Amino acid sequence: MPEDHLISDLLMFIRTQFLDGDATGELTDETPLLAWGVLDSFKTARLLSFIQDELDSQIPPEQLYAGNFRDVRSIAAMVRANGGRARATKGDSIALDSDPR
Amino acid sequence: MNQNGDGMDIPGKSGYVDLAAGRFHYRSWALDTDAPSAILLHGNGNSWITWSRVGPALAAAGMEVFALDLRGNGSSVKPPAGSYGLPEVVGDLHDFIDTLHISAPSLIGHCWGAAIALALAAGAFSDRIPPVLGSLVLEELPADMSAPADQPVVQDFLRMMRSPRSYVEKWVDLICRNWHPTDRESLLADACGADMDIYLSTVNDGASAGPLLPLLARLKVPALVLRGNPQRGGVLNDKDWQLVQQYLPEDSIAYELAGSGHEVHRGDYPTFMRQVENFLHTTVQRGSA
Repeated sequence: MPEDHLISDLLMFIRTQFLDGDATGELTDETPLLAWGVLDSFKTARLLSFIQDELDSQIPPEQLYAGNFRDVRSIAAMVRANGGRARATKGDSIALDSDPR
Repeated sequence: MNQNGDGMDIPGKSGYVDLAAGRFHYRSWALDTDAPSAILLHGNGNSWITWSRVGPALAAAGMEVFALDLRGNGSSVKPPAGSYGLPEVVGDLHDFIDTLHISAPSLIGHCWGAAIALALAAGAFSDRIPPVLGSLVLEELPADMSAPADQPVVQDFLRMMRSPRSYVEKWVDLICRNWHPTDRESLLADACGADMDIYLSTVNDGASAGPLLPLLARLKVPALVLRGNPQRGGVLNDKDWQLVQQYLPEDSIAYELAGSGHEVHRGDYPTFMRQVENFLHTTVQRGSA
């Protein structure tokens, strides 16, 4: 499902970019990112760039508030509501588009 | 609010001075005292307003404080892109000190401002004899002016400059949610007031200066070098941080603010002020002994 792919992309990004790979596997889609300090100011900015550049989701200003960044599930819902697509989904469509048939 | 601070109740007084390159704006606090002086030097794309809380606090601590709008920024003269190399900007600062007859000021610079302060104190890029200085505080000194072009903090700032104000307002509220409201206001003013061509010219023109950290070894005044946590956006990586400690003279200090990113004096204002006031207290005492 697209939502699952989005969550997977977001989890992967946060694990690799912010948690040194999350070797202990603590991060889930319901981990309270702000409350636990996973998303400080710099990392929130990086995550927002990832959402815009890699997931093709332009978040409108009125949705830029902490509640939408509470956990990966809420971030994914916001991204999906604003036209974002998982990278795997984009890869599929690119492959289909380039298919000569 | 804009980069003049209009619409914001910040103490201090604005002034203008004509230098060789044109008319420059500065903000000052506690000018009628015989106190030791400090000059605050903002980073690329910023203005005096980045020091909205630092300036008054240092004045309250007994200093005469000036915050200069560097060329191309705030309300100072804006030469065309291509004239923002360190030799030109260091010359402006030297002229500013001479023209206002500021006696042995301490220079406190953030990023680009730190590079300028260091270059002036080290006598780099100029045939002129450096002015007498009190001490240096170098916050987030870049290893090389070209390096920050690839830094995420630079990319974020460029993204903000390209965005509508309504977006930037919400962005700042979200990203800087733990900052003091005055500091959020000042970042917003900077992001919406900066000139992108000049911002990029400062990076490109500054690149010709080459590596900056070796200049630390040439210092004749004590320095406090502050870095933010590179995991949070600080521009000095661990290898460069080792170089800083290697080059710094014995009477200087290198200190990392682990809880802060690049925006040290706004992101962790209490720790910044504590470090700076302790350092200046020590160096001012030493200078007057």
